[in-house]
Amino acid sequence: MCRRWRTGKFRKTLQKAGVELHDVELPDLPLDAIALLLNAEAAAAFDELTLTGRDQFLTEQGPDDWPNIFRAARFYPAVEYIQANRARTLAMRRMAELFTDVDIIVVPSNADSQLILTNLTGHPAVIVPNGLRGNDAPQAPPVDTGDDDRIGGPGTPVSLTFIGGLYNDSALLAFASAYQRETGFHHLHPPGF
Amino acid sequence: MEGHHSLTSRRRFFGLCAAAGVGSTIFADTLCAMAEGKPEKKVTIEMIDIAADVAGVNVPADKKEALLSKLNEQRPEYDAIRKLHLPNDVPPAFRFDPVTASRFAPATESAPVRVPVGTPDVPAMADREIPKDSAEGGG
Repeated sequence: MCRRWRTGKFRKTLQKAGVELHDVELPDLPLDAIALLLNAEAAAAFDELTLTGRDQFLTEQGPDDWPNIFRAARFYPAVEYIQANRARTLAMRRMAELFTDVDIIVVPSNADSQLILTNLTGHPAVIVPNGLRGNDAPQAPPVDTGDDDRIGGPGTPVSLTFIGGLYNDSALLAFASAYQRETGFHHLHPPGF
Repeated sequence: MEGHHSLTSRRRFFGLCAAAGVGSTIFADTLCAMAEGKPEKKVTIEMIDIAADVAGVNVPADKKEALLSKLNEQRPEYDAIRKLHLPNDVPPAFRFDPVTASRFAPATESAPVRVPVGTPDVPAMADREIPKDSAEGGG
């Protein structure tokens, strides 16, 4: 379980189900910097789209949207790409070390760059419903900038993420299924839905 | 001495750029600043135009501002990786496999390599008549 996340009802639920909880720390690496290599690889996959200019027909054209990311990747130095791939090896090694001690890692969804990390290391992850925000939750901002996924406001759903070991998808899915059955959160619906 | 060396390298770098037909100091300045580890130097539209020419890509005029924003955001990330000081025993996370998907590698079962001792035309040394002098260790 991610060390920075020590509270929550999920702990009791897991302990009640017989799960032994230990604190772990996800690898402390510049994951955003390493993840630029994924942009370069995506840009290579969509090379023709960029070079023919047909990327202009895509709807989203902001700085963080794919057409712009593909263009920016054209100026990503080759040496940096290799070095990022070497840093990726460090991430893979550290995750392998973590999974020598635990079977499943529990993290808040989209926290601690978990999504980027598992994209880089290939570890399977499952996101399950984890209830609805209470009435005392902060109101959602009028505009969703896309920078923060935790802004739904009262009554909106939240989730929990489980990360499994490499090629251990079946155990991970069984664990997620057991959690879902135990909590029944997947039967909840936000008001109006 | 280090400053002198740096200046010499800079001059040499500009010289190489000129020799390569990259006359603009903007492009050379950009690359030189990057090589000297000065990520605080911001990328500009002019730099994008020149670098795009070098890379052989066309960046539509109305897309340059978004690209500028992304490139300036991306630059400091290079430093984050450089600060890891990756040791030599850390390989890149990809593998090269010379065998294409449509072919199979030959079996690599371990077996002793048998080399014929001689050919029918050339008898093995043991079967040849050994000159008397040699056999006596003469010479």
